[in-house]
Amino acid sequence: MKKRNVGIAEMMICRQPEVLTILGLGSCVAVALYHERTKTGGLAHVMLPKGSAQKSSRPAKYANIAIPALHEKVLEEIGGKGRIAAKICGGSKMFKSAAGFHIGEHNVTAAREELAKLGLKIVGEDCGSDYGRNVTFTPENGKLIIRSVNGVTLL
Amino acid sequence: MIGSGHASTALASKLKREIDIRIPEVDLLPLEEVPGKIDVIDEITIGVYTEIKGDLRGRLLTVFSEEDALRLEEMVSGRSAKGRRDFSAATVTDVSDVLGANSLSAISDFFGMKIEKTPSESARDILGALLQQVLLDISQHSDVVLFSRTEIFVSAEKFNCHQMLFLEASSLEKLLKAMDVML
Repeated sequence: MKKRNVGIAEMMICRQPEVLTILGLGSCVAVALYHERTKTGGLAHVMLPKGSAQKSSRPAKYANIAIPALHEKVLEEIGGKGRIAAKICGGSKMFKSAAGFHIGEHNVTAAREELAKLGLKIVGEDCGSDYGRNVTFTPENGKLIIRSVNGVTLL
Repeated sequence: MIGSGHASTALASKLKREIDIRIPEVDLLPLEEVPGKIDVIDEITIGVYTEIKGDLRGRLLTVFSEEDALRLEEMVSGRSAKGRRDFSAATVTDVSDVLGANSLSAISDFFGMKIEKTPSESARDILGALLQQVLLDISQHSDVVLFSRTEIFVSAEKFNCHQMLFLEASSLEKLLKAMDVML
C-alpha cells in the first residue's frame, strides 16, 4: 500500500488503494474531502485561517485558499461532478500557557466556514483539546484513523 | 553558541556528569519549513515550552525522548527510575530552564538586552504537534523565524535532547542593530 505524508501547508489527492498521512498535527487543522463512489479523496494540512496566496510558496497554508483549491482538485479528479463529503480534525492547544488567542480554534472555525461556503457537509469531526494527532486517511472508505497519546479514534 | 560554556557547567554540576553542548545550527526560515528540519516528528516526546519576552520575542522548546527524560531523572536524583514510565515534569523543566536561562542570559549580557522568560510548562505528546504550537504562536507576529537547535551530550554519550530557540523577525532586526552599534 502506497503511503504519502502531507507536510504542513501542503495538500494531496489520492485514490484507492493509496493512503495519506499527516504526522504531528497540533494546532493546524486537517481537512479531508472524499467521493465515495470513485474512492477518491484529498487531504490538506492547513496552518492558518486566512491569508493571501502570494504570502507562501505552499498551497495549503491558509484555510481560505486551501479548501476551495482542494475541492477543485478533487472535482477535477472525479470528472467534475459528484457528492463530496468532508471530515476535519486537529486545532488543539498543546500548552495551557501558550499566550494569545487560541489559534487552533480559529483554524477549526475557518475550516468550517470555508466548507459551508462550498456547500460541503462535515460528516466527521475530532477537533480541539490539548493533545496532538497522527492521522491516516483512506479514500477507499473515507475513514480517518487518528492516533494520539490518549489512544485511537476512528472517524 | 554564546553561553553554551556556562550552560554546560551549570548543567554538569546538576547532573554530576561531563556535559558537552554542540554548536547549534542556526537558520532563518519561513515557519512552514521548520518541521522539515526535524528527522522524526511523529514520535511521542517530552517537551518543555517557554515564552520569551522583553527585547527579544519568541519561544524555547526543549525536547527529550521518553527514555532520556527518565535517564535525566536518575542522574539528578541518583535513584533508579527502572520500572517507571512517567517522566518527572519537575526534572525536565529544571534541566531545560538551566539550559535556556544560560544561553538567554549570555545573549542579553552580550547585546545589552533585557530578556524575560515565562514559567515553563511540560507535556508528553507527539513532537510535531508540540512544534506546531510554537510555529503558530510565532505566526501571529512573523512569517519567518530565526531557528536554532542545540544538541546536548552527557558524558560523551549522545543524549537525545534538543533545545530549539525560535525568535520572531523583529528580534532578528534588533540583534542585527545591536551588532551594528558594537562594530
